Amino acid sequence: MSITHTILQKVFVREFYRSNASFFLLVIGLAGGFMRSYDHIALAEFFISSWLTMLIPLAVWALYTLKVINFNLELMVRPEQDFIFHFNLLPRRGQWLSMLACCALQLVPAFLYGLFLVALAAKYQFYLSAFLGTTGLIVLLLYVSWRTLNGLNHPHPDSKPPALNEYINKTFTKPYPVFFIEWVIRRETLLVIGSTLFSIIILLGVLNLYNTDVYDFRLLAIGLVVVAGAMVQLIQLAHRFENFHFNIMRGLPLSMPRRVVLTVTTHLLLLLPIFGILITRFPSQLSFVTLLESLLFLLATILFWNGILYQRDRDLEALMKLVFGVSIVLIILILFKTPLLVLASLKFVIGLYLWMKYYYRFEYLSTQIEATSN
Amino acid sequence: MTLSLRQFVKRYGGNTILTVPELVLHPGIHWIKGENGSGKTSLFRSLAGLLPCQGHVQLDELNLHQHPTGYRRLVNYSEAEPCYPGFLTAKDLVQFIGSTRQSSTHQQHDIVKQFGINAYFEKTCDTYSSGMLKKLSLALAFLGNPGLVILDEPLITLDEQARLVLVRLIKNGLSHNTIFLISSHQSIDEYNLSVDNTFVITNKTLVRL
Repeated sequence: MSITHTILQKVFVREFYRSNASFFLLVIGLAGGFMRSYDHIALAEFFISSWLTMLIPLAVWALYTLKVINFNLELMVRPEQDFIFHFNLLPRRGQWLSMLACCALQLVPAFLYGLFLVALAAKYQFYLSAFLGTTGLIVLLLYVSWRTLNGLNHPHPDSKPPALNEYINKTFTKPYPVFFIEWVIRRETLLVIGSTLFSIIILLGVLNLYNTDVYDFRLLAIGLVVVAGAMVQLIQLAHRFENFHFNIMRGLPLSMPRRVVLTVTTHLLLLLPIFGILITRFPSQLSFVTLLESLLFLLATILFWNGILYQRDRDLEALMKLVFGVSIVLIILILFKTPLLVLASLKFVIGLYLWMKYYYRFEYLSTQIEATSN
Repeated sequence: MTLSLRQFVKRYGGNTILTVPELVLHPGIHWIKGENGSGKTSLFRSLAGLLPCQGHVQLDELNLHQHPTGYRRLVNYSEAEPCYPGFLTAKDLVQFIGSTRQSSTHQQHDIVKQFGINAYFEKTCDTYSSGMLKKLSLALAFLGNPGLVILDEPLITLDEQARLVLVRLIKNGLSHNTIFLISSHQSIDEYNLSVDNTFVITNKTLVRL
Protein backbone atom coordinates (compact mmCIF):
# COMPACT_ATOMS: atom_id res chain seq x y z
CA MET A 1 0.00 0.00 0.00
CA SER A 2 1.42 3.41 -0.97
CA ILE A 3 2.16 6.05 1.62
CA THR A 4 -0.68 8.20 0.22
CA HIS A 5 -3.21 5.44 0.88
CA THR A 6 -1.79 4.87 4.34
CA ILE A 7 -1.98 8.56 5.26
CA LEU A 8 -5.50 8.97 3.92
CA GLN A 9 -6.66 5.92 5.79
CA LYS A 10 -5.06 7.05 9.02
CA VAL A 11 -6.36 10.60 8.74
CA PHE A 12 -9.85 10.03 7.37
CA VAL A 13 -10.91 6.38 7.70
CA ARG A 14 -9.51 5.34 11.06
CA GLU A 15 -10.39 8.66 12.64
CA PHE A 16 -13.92 8.49 11.21
CA TYR A 17 -14.65 5.08 12.70
CA ARG A 18 -12.93 5.98 15.97
CA SER A 19 -14.94 9.19 16.36
CA ASN A 20 -18.19 7.46 15.48
CA ALA A 21 -17.63 4.22 17.37
CA SER A 22 -20.57 4.87 19.73
CA PHE A 23 -22.80 5.68 16.74
CA PHE A 24 -21.96 2.39 15.03
CA LEU A 25 -22.34 0.45 18.27
CA LEU A 26 -25.77 2.00 18.69
CA VAL A 27 -26.76 1.07 15.14
CA ILE A 28 -25.47 -2.48 15.57
CA GLY A 29 -27.21 -2.71 18.94
CA LEU A 30 -30.51 -1.52 17.50
CA ALA A 31 -30.29 -3.70 14.41
CA GLY A 32 -29.09 -6.79 16.26
CA GLY A 33 -31.04 -6.29 19.44
CA PHE A 34 -34.55 -5.67 18.21
CA MET A 35 -34.63 -7.44 14.87
CA ARG A 36 -34.21 -11.11 14.12
CA SER A 37 -32.72 -12.36 10.83
CA TYR A 38 -36.09 -12.94 9.15
CA ASP A 39 -37.16 -9.41 10.20
CA HIS A 40 -34.13 -8.10 8.35
CA ILE A 41 -34.97 -10.12 5.25
CA ALA A 42 -38.61 -8.99 5.38
CA LEU A 43 -37.53 -5.37 5.66
CA ALA A 44 -35.07 -5.76 2.78
CA GLU A 45 -37.76 -7.39 0.64
CA PHE A 46 -40.00 -4.42 1.37
CA PHE A 47 -37.24 -2.01 0.30
CA ILE A 48 -36.56 -3.74 -3.03
CA SER A 49 -40.24 -4.35 -3.84
CA SER A 50 -40.50 -1.10 -5.87
CA TRP A 51 -38.34 1.81 -7.00
CA LEU A 52 -40.26 4.06 -4.60
CA THR A 53 -39.50 1.99 -1.49
CA MET A 54 -35.90 1.61 -2.70
CA LEU A 55 -35.62 5.36 -2.17
CA ILE A 56 -35.81 4.77 1.62
CA PRO A 57 -32.39 3.05 1.97
CA LEU A 58 -31.02 5.47 -0.63
CA ALA A 59 -32.13 8.40 1.53
CA VAL A 60 -30.48 6.81 4.59
CA TRP A 61 -27.25 6.28 2.63
CA ALA A 62 -27.40 9.88 1.45
CA LEU A 63 -27.66 11.05 5.07
CA TYR A 64 -24.75 8.81 5.98
CA THR A 65 -22.76 10.26 3.08
CA LEU A 66 -23.46 13.77 4.34
CA LYS A 67 -22.17 12.68 7.72
CA VAL A 68 -18.96 11.42 6.10
CA ILE A 69 -18.54 14.62 4.06
CA ASN A 70 -19.16 16.75 7.12
CA PHE A 71 -16.59 14.77 9.08
CA ASN A 72 -13.96 15.01 6.34
CA LEU A 73 -14.41 18.75 5.83
CA GLU A 74 -14.38 19.48 9.57
CA LEU A 75 -11.29 17.37 10.03
CA MET A 76 -9.36 19.41 7.45
CA VAL A 77 -9.95 22.60 9.43
CA ARG A 78 -8.03 21.26 12.44
CA PRO A 79 -4.57 22.86 12.64
CA GLU A 80 -2.81 19.52 13.15
CA GLN A 81 -4.18 18.31 9.81
CA ASP A 82 -2.61 21.13 7.78
CA PHE A 83 -0.04 18.71 6.39
CA ILE A 84 -2.77 16.87 4.49
CA PHE A 85 -3.00 19.75 2.01
CA HIS A 86 0.27 18.54 0.46
CA PHE A 87 -2.00 15.94 -1.10
CA ASN A 88 -3.06 18.42 -3.77
CA LEU A 89 0.48 18.41 -5.19
CA LEU A 90 -0.06 14.83 -6.43
CA PRO A 91 -1.18 14.16 -10.02
CA ARG A 92 -4.92 14.54 -10.45
CA ARG A 93 -5.46 10.89 -11.41
CA GLY A 94 -3.57 9.68 -8.35
CA GLN A 95 -5.61 12.00 -6.13
CA TRP A 96 -8.88 10.57 -7.46
CA LEU A 97 -7.81 6.94 -7.13
CA SER A 98 -6.53 7.39 -3.58
CA MET A 99 -9.58 9.35 -2.56
CA LEU A 100 -12.02 6.85 -4.09
CA ALA A 101 -10.34 4.06 -2.14
CA CYS A 102 -10.38 6.09 1.06
CA CYS A 103 -14.03 7.15 0.75
CA ALA A 104 -15.10 3.64 -0.24
CA LEU A 105 -13.75 2.47 3.11
CA GLN A 106 -15.72 5.16 4.89
CA LEU A 107 -18.86 4.04 3.04
CA VAL A 108 -18.36 0.34 3.85
CA PRO A 109 -21.49 0.08 6.06
CA ALA A 110 -23.64 1.48 3.22
CA PHE A 111 -21.88 -0.78 0.65
CA LEU A 112 -22.41 -3.91 2.73
CA TYR A 113 -26.11 -3.31 3.20
CA GLY A 114 -26.37 -2.17 -0.43
CA LEU A 115 -24.76 -5.42 -1.60
CA PHE A 116 -27.30 -7.37 0.45
CA LEU A 117 -30.18 -5.43 -1.10
CA VAL A 118 -28.83 -5.69 -4.65
CA ALA A 119 -28.26 -9.44 -4.28
CA LEU A 120 -31.78 -9.85 -2.95
CA ALA A 121 -33.21 -7.70 -5.75
CA ALA A 122 -31.34 -9.74 -8.35
CA LYS A 123 -32.63 -12.95 -6.78
CA TYR A 124 -36.24 -11.77 -7.05
CA GLN A 125 -35.54 -10.18 -10.46
CA PHE A 126 -36.31 -6.64 -9.26
CA TYR A 127 -33.75 -5.27 -11.69
CA LEU A 128 -34.83 -1.66 -11.35
CA SER A 129 -34.24 -1.78 -7.58
CA ALA A 130 -30.87 -3.48 -8.12
CA PHE A 131 -29.92 -0.82 -10.67
CA LEU A 132 -31.06 2.00 -8.37
CA GLY A 133 -29.13 0.58 -5.43
CA THR A 134 -25.92 0.09 -7.42
CA THR A 135 -26.10 3.45 -9.19
CA GLY A 136 -27.03 5.27 -5.99
CA LEU A 137 -24.01 3.91 -4.13
CA ILE A 138 -21.63 4.69 -7.01
CA VAL A 139 -22.99 8.25 -7.24
CA LEU A 140 -22.63 8.71 -3.49
CA LEU A 141 -19.05 7.41 -3.58
CA LEU A 142 -18.18 9.79 -6.41
CA TYR A 143 -19.88 12.66 -4.61
CA VAL A 144 -18.14 12.15 -1.25
CA SER A 145 -14.77 11.74 -3.04
CA TRP A 146 -15.33 14.90 -5.08
CA ARG A 147 -16.37 16.95 -2.03
CA THR A 148 -13.37 15.75 -0.02
CA LEU A 149 -10.98 16.34 -2.93
CA ASN A 150 -12.48 19.77 -3.46
CA GLY A 151 -11.90 20.52 0.22
CA LEU A 152 -8.29 19.41 -0.06
CA ASN A 153 -7.72 21.54 -3.15
CA HIS A 154 -9.29 24.63 -1.56
CA PRO A 155 -7.81 24.71 1.95
CA HIS A 156 -9.41 26.84 4.63
CA PRO A 157 -12.03 28.59 2.49
CA ASP A 158 -13.09 32.00 3.70
CA SER A 159 -16.52 31.68 5.23
CA LYS A 160 -18.69 34.60 6.21
CA PRO A 161 -20.79 34.11 9.33
CA PRO A 162 -24.54 34.04 8.66
CA ALA A 163 -26.15 37.49 8.66
CA LEU A 164 -28.58 36.44 11.40
CA ASN A 165 -25.69 35.46 13.69
CA GLU A 166 -23.99 38.78 13.05
CA TYR A 167 -27.22 40.62 13.85
CA ILE A 168 -27.73 38.65 17.07
CA ASN A 169 -24.13 39.23 18.16
CA LYS A 170 -24.46 42.95 17.50
CA THR A 171 -27.83 43.38 19.16
CA PHE A 172 -27.60 41.11 22.18
CA THR A 173 -25.09 40.01 24.78
CA LYS A 174 -25.36 36.35 25.66
CA PRO A 175 -26.19 35.69 29.31
CA TYR A 176 -24.04 33.04 30.98
CA PRO A 177 -26.66 30.24 31.07
CA VAL A 178 -26.77 30.38 27.27
CA PHE A 179 -22.99 29.81 26.98
CA PHE A 180 -23.22 26.10 27.75
CA ILE A 181 -26.45 25.60 25.82
CA GLU A 182 -24.92 27.01 22.63
CA TRP A 183 -21.69 25.08 23.22
CA VAL A 184 -23.41 21.74 23.72
CA ILE A 185 -25.84 22.22 20.83
CA ARG A 186 -22.94 22.98 18.49
CA ARG A 187 -20.80 20.17 19.82
CA GLU A 188 -23.22 17.41 20.82
CA THR A 189 -26.35 18.13 18.82
CA LEU A 190 -27.38 14.48 18.65
CA LEU A 191 -26.91 14.00 22.38
CA VAL A 192 -29.07 17.01 23.24
CA ILE A 193 -31.83 16.02 20.82
CA GLY A 194 -31.53 12.32 21.69
CA SER A 195 -31.64 12.69 25.48
CA THR A 196 -34.46 15.27 25.31
CA LEU A 197 -36.51 13.11 22.92
CA PHE A 198 -35.86 10.02 25.01
CA SER A 199 -37.00 11.82 28.17
CA ILE A 200 -40.09 13.18 26.42
CA ILE A 201 -41.05 9.74 25.06
CA ILE A 202 -40.58 8.08 28.47
CA LEU A 203 -42.55 10.79 30.20
CA LEU A 204 -45.35 10.77 27.60
CA GLY A 205 -45.54 6.99 27.79
CA VAL A 206 -45.75 7.00 31.57
CA LEU A 207 -48.27 9.85 31.71
CA ASN A 208 -50.47 8.19 29.08
CA LEU A 209 -50.57 4.98 31.12
CA TYR A 210 -52.52 6.88 33.76
CA ASN A 211 -55.35 7.21 31.20
CA THR A 212 -55.64 3.44 30.89
CA ASP A 213 -55.80 2.34 34.53
CA VAL A 214 -55.46 3.54 38.12
CA TYR A 215 -51.89 3.90 39.31
CA ASP A 216 -50.40 5.67 42.30
CA PHE A 217 -47.44 8.09 42.14
CA ARG A 218 -44.88 5.27 41.87
CA LEU A 219 -45.27 4.76 38.14
CA LEU A 220 -44.55 8.42 37.49
CA ALA A 221 -41.69 8.36 40.00
CA ILE A 222 -40.02 5.45 38.21
CA GLY A 223 -40.43 7.34 34.92
CA LEU A 224 -38.78 10.36 36.53
CA VAL A 225 -35.84 8.21 37.67
CA VAL A 226 -35.31 7.14 34.04
CA VAL A 227 -35.60 10.76 32.86
CA ALA A 228 -33.15 11.82 35.57
CA GLY A 229 -30.73 9.12 34.35
CA ALA A 230 -30.99 10.47 30.81
CA MET A 231 -30.12 13.95 32.09
CA VAL A 232 -26.81 12.92 33.62
CA GLN A 233 -24.65 13.06 30.51
CA LEU A 234 -25.75 16.63 29.83
CA ILE A 235 -25.01 17.49 33.47
CA GLN A 236 -21.55 15.96 33.05
CA LEU A 237 -20.94 17.97 29.89
CA ALA A 238 -22.04 21.18 31.62
CA HIS A 239 -19.67 20.38 34.46
CA ARG A 240 -16.85 19.81 31.98
CA PHE A 241 -17.67 23.05 30.18
CA GLU A 242 -17.57 25.09 33.37
CA ASN A 243 -14.45 23.49 34.79
CA PHE A 244 -12.40 22.77 31.70
CA HIS A 245 -13.50 24.44 28.47
CA PHE A 246 -14.59 27.68 30.16
CA ASN A 247 -12.62 27.32 33.38
CA ILE A 248 -12.21 31.07 33.55
CA MET A 249 -15.41 30.70 35.61
CA ARG A 250 -13.48 29.17 38.47
CA GLY A 251 -11.37 32.30 38.83
CA LEU A 252 -14.31 34.70 38.81
CA PRO A 253 -15.47 36.28 42.05
CA LEU A 254 -18.83 34.51 42.17
CA SER A 255 -20.31 33.34 45.45
CA MET A 256 -21.29 29.69 45.74
CA PRO A 257 -25.04 30.40 45.72
CA ARG A 258 -24.62 32.42 42.52
CA ARG A 259 -22.59 29.65 40.90
CA VAL A 260 -25.29 27.12 41.82
CA VAL A 261 -28.05 29.38 40.51
CA LEU A 262 -26.22 29.94 37.20
CA THR A 263 -25.68 26.22 36.65
CA VAL A 264 -29.21 25.25 37.70
CA THR A 265 -30.68 27.97 35.43
CA THR A 266 -28.72 26.54 32.51
CA HIS A 267 -30.19 23.09 33.11
CA LEU A 268 -33.68 24.38 33.72
CA LEU A 269 -33.59 26.01 30.28
CA LEU A 270 -32.63 22.65 28.77
CA LEU A 271 -35.36 20.95 30.79
CA LEU A 272 -38.13 23.34 29.70
CA PRO A 273 -39.72 20.86 27.23
CA ILE A 274 -39.79 18.15 29.91
CA PHE A 275 -41.24 20.52 32.50
CA GLY A 276 -43.80 21.66 29.93
CA ILE A 277 -44.96 18.10 29.23
CA LEU A 278 -45.07 17.23 32.91
CA ILE A 279 -47.20 20.27 33.73
CA THR A 280 -49.57 20.16 30.74
CA ARG A 281 -50.15 16.39 30.70
CA PHE A 282 -50.09 15.73 34.40
CA PRO A 283 -52.69 13.02 35.23
CA SER A 284 -55.77 14.23 37.02
CA GLN A 285 -55.71 11.20 39.35
CA LEU A 286 -52.49 12.48 40.94
CA SER A 287 -52.46 15.48 43.27
CA PHE A 288 -50.97 18.90 42.60
CA VAL A 289 -48.50 18.20 45.41
CA THR A 290 -47.16 15.24 43.41
CA LEU A 291 -46.59 17.59 40.47
CA LEU A 292 -44.58 19.93 42.69
CA GLU A 293 -42.66 16.96 44.11
CA SER A 294 -41.91 15.76 40.57
CA LEU A 295 -40.53 19.15 39.53
CA LEU A 296 -38.50 19.31 42.72
CA PHE A 297 -37.17 15.80 42.05
CA LEU A 298 -35.83 16.87 38.63
CA LEU A 299 -34.33 20.02 40.13
CA ALA A 300 -32.70 17.97 42.89
CA THR A 301 -31.25 15.68 40.21
CA ILE A 302 -29.25 18.61 38.81
CA LEU A 303 -27.86 19.43 42.25
CA PHE A 304 -27.20 15.81 43.14
CA TRP A 305 -25.16 14.92 40.06
CA ASN A 306 -23.23 18.17 40.12
CA GLY A 307 -22.33 17.43 43.73
CA ILE A 308 -21.20 13.93 42.78
CA LEU A 309 -19.15 15.30 39.87
CA TYR A 310 -17.40 17.85 42.08
CA GLN A 311 -16.59 15.24 44.71
CA ARG A 312 -14.14 13.46 42.41
CA ASP A 313 -13.05 13.52 38.78
CA ARG A 314 -15.00 10.63 37.29
CA ASP A 315 -14.97 9.54 33.67
CA LEU A 316 -18.23 8.78 31.88
CA GLU A 317 -17.95 5.04 32.41
CA ALA A 318 -17.53 5.35 36.19
CA LEU A 319 -20.30 7.92 36.28
CA MET A 320 -22.72 5.72 34.36
CA LYS A 321 -22.11 2.82 36.75
CA LEU A 322 -23.00 5.18 39.58
CA VAL A 323 -26.08 6.41 37.72
CA PHE A 324 -27.21 2.82 37.29
CA GLY A 325 -26.65 2.02 40.96
CA VAL A 326 -28.40 5.17 42.20
CA SER A 327 -31.35 4.55 39.85
CA ILE A 328 -31.76 0.99 41.14
CA VAL A 329 -31.70 2.20 44.76
CA LEU A 330 -34.23 4.94 43.95
CA ILE A 331 -36.56 2.49 42.19
CA ILE A 332 -36.43 0.12 45.16
CA LEU A 333 -37.20 3.00 47.53
CA ILE A 334 -40.06 4.09 45.26
CA LEU A 335 -41.50 0.57 45.17
CA PHE A 336 -41.58 0.71 48.98
CA LYS A 337 -43.67 3.89 48.63
CA THR A 338 -41.00 6.32 49.79
CA PRO A 339 -42.50 9.74 49.04
CA LEU A 340 -40.98 11.66 46.12
CA LEU A 341 -40.47 14.63 48.40
CA VAL A 342 -38.19 12.57 50.65
CA LEU A 343 -36.13 11.35 47.68
CA ALA A 344 -35.95 14.85 46.20
CA SER A 345 -34.94 16.35 49.55
CA LEU A 346 -32.29 13.67 50.02
CA LYS A 347 -30.82 14.33 46.58
CA PHE A 348 -31.07 18.07 47.13
CA VAL A 349 -29.22 18.02 50.45
CA ILE A 350 -26.53 15.52 49.36
CA GLY A 351 -25.94 17.37 46.09
CA LEU A 352 -25.72 20.80 47.65
CA TYR A 353 -23.46 19.55 50.44
CA LEU A 354 -21.01 17.88 48.04
CA TRP A 355 -21.10 20.85 45.66
CA MET A 356 -20.31 23.35 48.44
CA LYS A 357 -17.69 21.15 50.03
CA TYR A 358 -15.75 20.11 46.96
CA TYR A 359 -16.14 22.93 44.43
CA TYR A 360 -12.90 24.72 45.25
CA ARG A 361 -11.02 21.46 45.74
CA PHE A 362 -12.07 19.99 42.42
CA GLU A 363 -9.58 19.50 39.63
CA TYR A 364 -9.73 17.52 36.42
CA LEU A 365 -6.98 14.96 36.63
CA SER A 366 -7.48 14.31 32.94
CA THR A 367 -6.96 17.99 32.11
CA GLN A 368 -3.45 17.62 30.77
CA ILE A 369 -4.34 14.60 28.67
CA GLU A 370 -7.23 16.48 27.10
CA ALA A 371 -5.21 19.65 26.64
CA THR A 372 -2.65 17.82 24.54
CA SER A 373 -5.20 15.87 22.59
CA ASN A 374 -7.25 18.95 21.62
CA MET B 1 -1.67 45.36 48.91
CA THR B 2 0.41 42.37 50.04
CA LEU B 3 0.43 38.85 48.70
CA SER B 4 1.69 36.28 51.15
CA LEU B 5 2.27 32.57 50.56
CA ARG B 6 3.26 30.08 53.24
CA GLN B 7 3.84 26.37 52.78
CA PHE B 8 2.27 26.62 49.34
CA VAL B 9 2.14 23.25 47.59
CA LYS B 10 0.73 22.35 44.19
CA ARG B 11 0.22 18.68 43.47
CA TYR B 12 -1.12 16.76 40.51
CA GLY B 13 -2.48 13.36 41.44
CA GLY B 14 -0.30 13.18 44.54
CA ASN B 15 2.89 14.32 42.77
CA THR B 16 4.25 17.58 44.09
CA ILE B 17 5.16 19.84 41.21
CA LEU B 18 5.82 23.09 43.06
CA THR B 19 6.41 24.35 46.58
CA VAL B 20 6.80 27.86 47.93
CA PRO B 21 7.89 27.74 51.57
CA GLU B 22 7.52 31.46 52.26
CA LEU B 23 6.87 34.45 50.03
CA VAL B 24 5.70 38.01 50.63
CA LEU B 25 5.13 40.32 47.68
CA HIS B 26 4.36 44.03 47.78
CA PRO B 27 3.13 46.23 44.92
CA GLY B 28 5.54 46.18 42.02
CA ILE B 29 6.61 43.90 39.22
CA HIS B 30 7.72 40.40 40.11
CA TRP B 31 9.24 38.33 37.36
CA ILE B 32 8.91 34.57 37.55
CA LYS B 33 11.41 32.64 35.50
CA GLY B 34 11.67 28.95 34.85
CA GLU B 35 12.11 26.41 32.14
CA ASN B 36 9.17 25.09 30.17
CA GLY B 37 7.23 22.70 32.37
CA SER B 38 8.80 24.00 35.57
CA GLY B 39 5.39 24.89 37.04
CA LYS B 40 5.01 28.62 36.35
CA THR B 41 1.59 28.28 34.81
CA SER B 42 0.43 25.92 37.57
CA LEU B 43 1.54 28.51 40.14
CA PHE B 44 -0.30 31.25 38.28
CA ARG B 45 -3.45 29.21 37.80
CA SER B 46 -3.43 28.23 41.47
CA LEU B 47 -3.00 31.82 42.62
CA ALA B 48 -5.79 32.87 40.25
CA GLY B 49 -8.11 30.34 41.87
CA LEU B 50 -8.41 28.18 38.76
CA LEU B 51 -6.66 25.19 40.31
CA PRO B 52 -6.82 23.92 43.88
CA CYS B 53 -3.66 24.16 45.95
CA GLN B 54 -2.58 23.71 49.52
CA GLY B 55 -1.05 26.14 51.95
CA HIS B 56 -1.62 29.70 53.00
CA VAL B 57 -2.36 32.13 50.16
CA GLN B 58 -3.51 35.55 51.23
CA LEU B 59 -3.98 38.91 49.58
CA ASP B 60 -4.15 41.56 52.30
CA GLU B 61 -6.84 40.20 54.64
CA LEU B 62 -8.40 37.88 52.10
CA ASN B 63 -7.42 34.23 52.20
CA LEU B 64 -7.83 32.13 49.04
CA HIS B 65 -9.43 29.24 50.94
CA GLN B 66 -11.42 31.15 53.55
CA HIS B 67 -12.66 34.02 51.38
CA PRO B 68 -12.81 32.46 47.91
CA THR B 69 -15.10 35.11 46.41
CA GLY B 70 -13.45 38.19 47.90
CA TYR B 71 -9.97 36.90 47.07
CA ARG B 72 -10.94 36.20 43.47
CA ARG B 73 -12.35 39.70 43.09
CA LEU B 74 -8.83 41.05 43.64
CA VAL B 75 -6.99 38.65 41.34
CA ASN B 76 -6.96 38.88 37.55
CA TYR B 77 -5.14 36.50 35.27
CA SER B 78 -4.20 36.47 31.62
CA GLU B 79 -3.17 33.10 30.22
CA ALA B 80 -0.17 32.56 27.97
CA GLU B 81 -2.28 31.05 25.22
CA PRO B 82 -5.86 32.13 25.87
CA CYS B 83 -8.67 30.07 24.46
CA TYR B 84 -12.38 30.90 24.58
CA PRO B 85 -15.46 29.15 23.19
CA GLY B 86 -15.54 30.04 19.49
CA PHE B 87 -19.15 31.18 19.42
CA LEU B 88 -18.69 33.88 22.07
CA THR B 89 -17.88 37.45 21.12
CA ALA B 90 -15.44 39.75 22.90
CA LYS B 91 -18.55 41.70 23.91
CA ASP B 92 -20.06 38.62 25.62
CA LEU B 93 -16.85 37.96 27.53
CA VAL B 94 -16.03 41.55 28.48
CA GLN B 95 -19.55 42.24 29.70
CA PHE B 96 -19.92 38.94 31.58
CA ILE B 97 -16.50 39.02 33.25
CA GLY B 98 -16.79 42.80 33.72
CA SER B 99 -20.07 42.36 35.59
CA THR B 100 -18.60 39.75 37.94
CA ARG B 101 -15.57 41.96 38.60
CA GLN B 102 -17.75 45.04 39.14
CA SER B 103 -16.10 46.83 36.26
CA SER B 104 -17.92 49.95 35.07
CA THR B 105 -19.14 50.18 31.48
CA HIS B 106 -16.80 53.13 31.08
CA GLN B 107 -13.81 51.06 32.16
CA GLN B 108 -14.82 48.22 29.83
CA HIS B 109 -15.12 50.59 26.86
CA ASP B 110 -11.87 52.29 27.72
CA ILE B 111 -9.80 49.09 27.90
CA VAL B 112 -11.45 47.65 24.79
CA LYS B 113 -10.66 50.86 22.91
CA GLN B 114 -7.07 51.03 24.13
CA PHE B 115 -6.31 47.53 22.88
CA GLY B 116 -8.18 48.15 19.63
CA ILE B 117 -10.59 45.33 20.37
CA ASN B 118 -13.56 47.48 19.33
CA ALA B 119 -12.74 46.60 15.72
CA TYR B 120 -13.82 43.01 16.38
CA PHE B 121 -15.81 43.46 19.57
CA GLU B 122 -18.98 41.90 18.16
CA LYS B 123 -17.29 39.13 16.16
CA THR B 124 -17.08 35.60 17.50
CA CYS B 125 -13.79 34.31 18.95
CA ASP B 126 -13.48 31.62 16.29
CA THR B 127 -12.63 34.38 13.80
CA TYR B 128 -9.78 35.81 15.92
CA SER B 129 -6.07 35.44 15.33
CA SER B 130 -3.83 34.45 18.26
CA GLY B 131 -2.82 38.12 18.67
CA MET B 132 -6.46 39.22 18.85
CA LEU B 133 -7.17 36.53 21.47
CA LYS B 134 -4.14 37.67 23.46
CA LYS B 135 -5.33 41.28 23.43
CA LEU B 136 -8.76 40.17 24.63
CA SER B 137 -7.21 38.10 27.41
CA LEU B 138 -5.07 41.04 28.53
CA ALA B 139 -8.06 43.40 28.42
CA LEU B 140 -10.00 40.99 30.65
CA ALA B 141 -7.07 40.96 33.10
CA PHE B 142 -7.41 44.69 33.73
CA LEU B 143 -11.17 44.76 34.40
CA GLY B 144 -12.36 45.78 37.86
CA ASN B 145 -9.94 46.88 40.57
CA PRO B 146 -7.44 44.04 40.83
CA GLY B 147 -4.83 44.04 43.55
CA LEU B 148 -2.90 41.24 41.89
CA VAL B 149 -2.56 40.91 38.13
CA ILE B 150 -0.95 37.73 36.85
CA LEU B 151 0.34 37.89 33.29
CA ASP B 152 1.63 34.66 31.77
CA GLU B 153 3.87 35.51 28.79
CA PRO B 154 2.08 38.81 28.14
CA LEU B 155 4.28 39.88 25.22
CA ILE B 156 3.93 36.88 22.93
CA THR B 157 1.94 37.41 19.72
CA LEU B 158 1.36 41.08 20.61
CA ASP B 159 2.09 43.83 18.11
CA GLU B 160 4.18 46.82 19.19
CA GLN B 161 1.18 49.09 19.66
CA ALA B 162 -0.55 46.62 21.97
CA ARG B 163 2.68 46.16 23.92
CA LEU B 164 2.79 49.89 24.58
CA VAL B 165 -0.83 49.82 25.75
CA LEU B 166 0.03 46.95 28.07
CA VAL B 167 3.01 48.85 29.47
CA ARG B 168 0.80 51.91 30.03
CA LEU B 169 -1.77 49.81 31.88
CA ILE B 170 0.90 48.17 34.02
CA LYS B 171 2.35 51.57 34.93
CA ASN B 172 -1.13 52.79 35.79
CA GLY B 173 -1.68 49.69 37.92
CA LEU B 174 1.61 50.28 39.73
CA SER B 175 0.48 53.78 40.64
CA HIS B 176 -2.58 52.14 42.26
CA ASN B 177 -0.49 49.72 44.36
CA THR B 178 -1.13 46.66 42.19
CA ILE B 179 1.08 43.62 42.38
CA PHE B 180 2.13 42.23 38.99
CA LEU B 181 3.33 38.67 38.66
CA ILE B 182 4.78 38.21 35.22
CA SER B 183 6.41 35.34 33.41
CA SER B 184 8.13 36.15 30.17
CA HIS B 185 10.83 34.67 28.04
CA GLN B 186 11.23 38.11 26.49
CA SER B 187 12.86 40.98 28.33
CA ILE B 188 10.51 43.59 29.74
CA ASP B 189 13.33 45.99 30.64
CA GLU B 190 13.22 47.68 27.24
CA TYR B 191 9.79 49.11 28.09
CA ASN B 192 11.11 51.01 31.11
CA LEU B 193 9.38 48.68 33.51
CA SER B 194 11.56 48.16 36.55
CA VAL B 195 11.40 44.67 37.93
CA ASP B 196 11.31 44.65 41.74
CA ASN B 197 12.01 40.96 42.26
CA THR B 198 13.05 38.08 40.09
CA PHE B 199 12.23 34.52 41.04
CA VAL B 200 13.15 31.26 39.45
CA ILE B 201 11.63 27.82 39.81
CA THR B 202 14.33 25.23 40.36
CA ASN B 203 13.90 21.75 41.77
CA LYS B 204 10.15 22.35 42.09
CA THR B 205 10.71 25.29 44.42
CA LEU B 206 10.26 29.00 43.84
CA VAL B 207 13.37 30.86 44.94
CA ARG B 208 14.32 34.53 44.84
CA LEU B 209 17.31 35.45 42.69
